[in-house]
Amino acid sequence: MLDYKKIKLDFPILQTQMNGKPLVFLDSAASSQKPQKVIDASSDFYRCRNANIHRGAYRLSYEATDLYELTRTKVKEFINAREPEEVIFTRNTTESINLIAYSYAIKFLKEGDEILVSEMEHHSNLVPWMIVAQKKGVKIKHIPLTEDYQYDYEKIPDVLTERTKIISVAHMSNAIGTIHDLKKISYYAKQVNAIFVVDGAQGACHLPVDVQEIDCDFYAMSAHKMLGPTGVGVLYGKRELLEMMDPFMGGGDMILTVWKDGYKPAPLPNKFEAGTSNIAGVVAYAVALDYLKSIGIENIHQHEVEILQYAIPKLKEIPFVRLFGTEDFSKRGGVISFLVEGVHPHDIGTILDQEGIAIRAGHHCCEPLMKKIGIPGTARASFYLYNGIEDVDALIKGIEKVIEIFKLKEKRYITVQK
Amino acid sequence: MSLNEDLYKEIIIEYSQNPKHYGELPEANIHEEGVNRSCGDEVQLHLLVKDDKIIQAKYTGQGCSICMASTEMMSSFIENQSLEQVKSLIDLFKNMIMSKEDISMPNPYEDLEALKGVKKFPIRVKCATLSWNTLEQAIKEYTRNKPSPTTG
Repeated sequence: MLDYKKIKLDFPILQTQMNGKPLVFLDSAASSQKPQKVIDASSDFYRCRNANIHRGAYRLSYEATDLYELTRTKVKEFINAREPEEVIFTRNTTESINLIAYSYAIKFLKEGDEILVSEMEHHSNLVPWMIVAQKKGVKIKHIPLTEDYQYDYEKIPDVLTERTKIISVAHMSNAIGTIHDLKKISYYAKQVNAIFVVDGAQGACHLPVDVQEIDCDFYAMSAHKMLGPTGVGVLYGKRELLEMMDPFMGGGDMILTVWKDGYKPAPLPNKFEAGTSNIAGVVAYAVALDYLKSIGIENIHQHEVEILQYAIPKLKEIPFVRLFGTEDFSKRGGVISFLVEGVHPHDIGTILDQEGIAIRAGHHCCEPLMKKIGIPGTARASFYLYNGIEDVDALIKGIEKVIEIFKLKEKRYITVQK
Repeated sequence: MSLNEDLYKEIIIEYSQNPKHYGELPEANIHEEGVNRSCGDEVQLHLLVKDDKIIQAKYTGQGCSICMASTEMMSSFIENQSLEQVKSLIDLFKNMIMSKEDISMPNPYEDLEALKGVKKFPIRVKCATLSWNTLEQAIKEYTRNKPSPTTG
């Protein structure tokens, strides 16, 4: 295990209380907390380095530009892209996927073409494709799932056709933590010449990413899930694809030249970065990447698996607790989706909240998956490098409190569900 | 008393775990659905109304214990009540939940006071009021669509 107690000290919010109890933060899959260094980088930028980038004829501006571009280089190294120009800054993973949908899919897909996703995807890897489907008469197909909610790789050929133009899947499921085998998917994408998109919202923060090894065409991720600021996302794309695509948004910074009735877009990466971006956020993101690198992503993943190895057997011992997700920990990240039988996830969330424990309750933006399982939602505890044994113990005590309040030990409960 | 105990009173757990009015009502002549978009709670009310009186009330749907207990209590209190009586009960209940003051419920509606705990949990107020708002909407629709009484 990592020295999580020491790591915790780097995160000021983890020294605070919630509802009068020490904060036990188990919702990093929604957004991670930020180390002091990242917070400082953002405020330092505003305090003494703030200027708009790419255009000022003065030192502050070109130094700000250098800092902004330094993050691009660091992202390039972090995911092993070929060149910094393949790294586009967006607001978040959602915007990155929308960028592909609007600038690639709407331009190149034709009626009758197919996009392959799965029922496990986050809404942000479903709805943009639904928009494409509506606009272009494209069909959306789904990769079959196994009983323990992995992609059923052997059945992919059944849903793959010559008309499959895009395959878009998550690196890791935010709802139940399954880690997907991207190289297998990549293999199938190659077979039909489909574009391979990875929703890396839960990927780059917990797992090593090498876009060249995965051989994906696009990889989308968010800084805020990896210790960085909110409002900063990344779209990695292969140069030849990014070159073919139309700009996503028009405005300042994305143009080479504009005349009375036309424009010429800027070269990569500016072509896709219209308007002033979250400069301070991008600058602070570099510090988050350095922090992750200093700990080592592989070590972080291993740490989360060890938390699972400690937590899952303990949770299984608690009567009324129902767990979701694969028990093959080699294919799972630090996410525990669970229910207490007879108790609605929101009630679990409220009771834990009063104990200072932050979890998520609901469908986790994965309504199709919840509908497939046949539940309205789950309670979800998710772990990161700053979580440890004590946090799991607090969670278990909290769940016992839920069972006590709902008197599950004393009487038979009736589940009021559809 | 902890905040958890304020919210999850025994009576609430009791009502939510023993839903006597849960289910379809084939003879119902009013159906109305209410959804809390932010949390996904949903309630479908099925009411049999005759001569401006609720003869029978049932509901389907899913939600947290606050929502389900509130819906169960509501359903039990509105049966055999005139629409006018029901409307004033809705007002009374919503006033109890929304008012800054501590408002009591008259006999025989005292059980509803158990839901007062949501006042300390602003995000849970909508759980307690979902079925009541849905009922209010149902009565509005019913009254609007009802043929006006003919004289002679």
